[in-house]
Amino acid sequence: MKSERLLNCIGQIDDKYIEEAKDIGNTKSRFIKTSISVAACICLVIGAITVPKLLNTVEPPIDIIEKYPPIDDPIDIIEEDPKTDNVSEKDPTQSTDSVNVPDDSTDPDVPKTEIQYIDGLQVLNISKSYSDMGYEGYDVYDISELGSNNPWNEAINLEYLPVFKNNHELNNRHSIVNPNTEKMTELMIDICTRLGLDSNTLEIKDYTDGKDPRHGIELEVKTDGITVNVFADYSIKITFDPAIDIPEDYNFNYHSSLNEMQKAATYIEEEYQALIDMESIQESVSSIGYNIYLQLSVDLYFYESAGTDLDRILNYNFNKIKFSPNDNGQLWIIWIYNTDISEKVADYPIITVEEAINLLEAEHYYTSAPRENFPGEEYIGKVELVYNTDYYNEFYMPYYKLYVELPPPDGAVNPNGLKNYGTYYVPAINPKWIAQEYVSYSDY
Amino acid sequence: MEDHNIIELFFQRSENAITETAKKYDKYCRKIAYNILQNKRDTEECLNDTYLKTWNAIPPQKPLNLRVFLGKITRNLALDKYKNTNRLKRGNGQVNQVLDEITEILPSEIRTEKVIDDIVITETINRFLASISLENRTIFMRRYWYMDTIQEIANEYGYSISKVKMSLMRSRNELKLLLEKEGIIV
Repeated sequence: MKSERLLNCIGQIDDKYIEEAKDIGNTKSRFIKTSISVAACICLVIGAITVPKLLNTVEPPIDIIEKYPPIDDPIDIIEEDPKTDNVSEKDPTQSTDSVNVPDDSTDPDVPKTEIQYIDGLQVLNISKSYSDMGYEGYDVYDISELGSNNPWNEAINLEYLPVFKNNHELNNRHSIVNPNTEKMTELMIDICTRLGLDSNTLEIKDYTDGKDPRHGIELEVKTDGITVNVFADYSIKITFDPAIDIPEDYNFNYHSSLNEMQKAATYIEEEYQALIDMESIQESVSSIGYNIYLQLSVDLYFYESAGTDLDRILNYNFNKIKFSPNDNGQLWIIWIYNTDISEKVADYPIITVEEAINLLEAEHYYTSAPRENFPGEEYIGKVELVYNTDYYNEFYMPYYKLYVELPPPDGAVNPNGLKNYGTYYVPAINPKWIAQEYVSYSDY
Repeated sequence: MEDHNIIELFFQRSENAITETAKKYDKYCRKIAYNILQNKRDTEECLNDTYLKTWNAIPPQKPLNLRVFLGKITRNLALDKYKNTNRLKRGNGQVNQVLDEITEILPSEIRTEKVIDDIVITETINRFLASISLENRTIFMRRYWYMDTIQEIANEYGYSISKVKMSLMRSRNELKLLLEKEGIIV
């Protein structure tokens, strides 16, 4: 059977699957100035959730978007130095206080959970989110081509990092239930203000029946050429239809070089300064490597770089803005990420990069790379510190992300000279506060 | 205008049927066609052919879902046009890339002891789609039915490109396993 025949058979599948995925963007060429004030055409949908009082009482915001709470001195952690030479073994002599947390909820459907503490710090559960989408690998000629502008580096001497509780409640379809629509509305009003849009009412869309399992309830403002969606995880999507032309001097494209995208970033930063709304804007151009057609794929983000090293690390991970082009090099979509880190669990002692590599060699890590391909320390190309930000994790905690070159098996040579890097994640938190034994897994 | 009213116009053989259809679904069909043909003139021709075929099909057909009915016609016509103009050889557009990806599902050596009807293959694909998550299914459909680029899919849903690629790779592997299990490929 030829591939064309299979493609044709795919074309004849059930209508319901075609309908399910029907939302398609539009890329007609036209220039829209963001300063144009356009009246929104929206109607309030009275559904299961209503926010009429809020709409009547919220004043135009000066700065509604919440900033993360400042990190105080870690006065709530243990006095003794938790670092040991051997971090791969759990010390059986350590106390494992098991505390029943009083359940204040009157909801009979909410189960009581038993939370464990060691030396005053809560033991954390890790959600296995990295394997769900298969192998995370990058093909590049040189590791430097991945870029990123991650504000973390080994020279930053941070002994503790905060861990945050994910406050979202999920159903079994991974939709966020009981979202904070008040906060979502505040975000919507703020964004509309920054875009120069007049919004009188909002349309509330309910996708908790599973139409879009990532988002559940969402708010939408739709006007001439601009659609703004605020999702239950507080991310915001701004879609331009038609897309906005970028001056020809700038190559704003999925397959721009890192330098070309950095140049385009200077234009976008200046043009959309009001929307970005940061005290000190830092661009971050990164790539995920080359595709099978040897085209480099690049992304453009901005994050707030004002403040301390920790401020920058948290902003880079949790509060950034992504500008995305369409196939024609026009500005098509802007994503604004506002991960809710309002509830800090505590500041946890973290291990060093060297200790993380020791754990990696002791096969204590999370990865989607084939296990038998782990070649050893000499193949580690790069190390970053990142936070997991997926909304279905119980906690947002830091990890060392190690890019490991995976040579082809049996001494074969990679075509085109590309090197394949797989990613290995080692929690940056001392392992004694991680509930699970590390599991290295692979679906390949 | 509601779909059932548009369909009624077709049954009445009213010339407004095509006008109303185009008003409501031109953007949808145009995107499907352009994703495949990557050429405005060919896209226009494809859309005109779509409306003509729809006019000839309704009646006697009375589609339950007019949008998908039109989408399928457009997709089939666009793929035919793409194949006939030999664009495969020039390596242009998404179809080539999609076909390269789908080729991974097929074994390098094909034994054809029996003829498999397309309906059987389609039903197997339906069962495969029913078995995967909504998220992966949407990505699969946007790539292999709507022919969106991986970047477009990533941007639309706020995913990274690697996440989309991994989803597609996993879905292709699972479909391949099912096709092997059903004896459609060996």
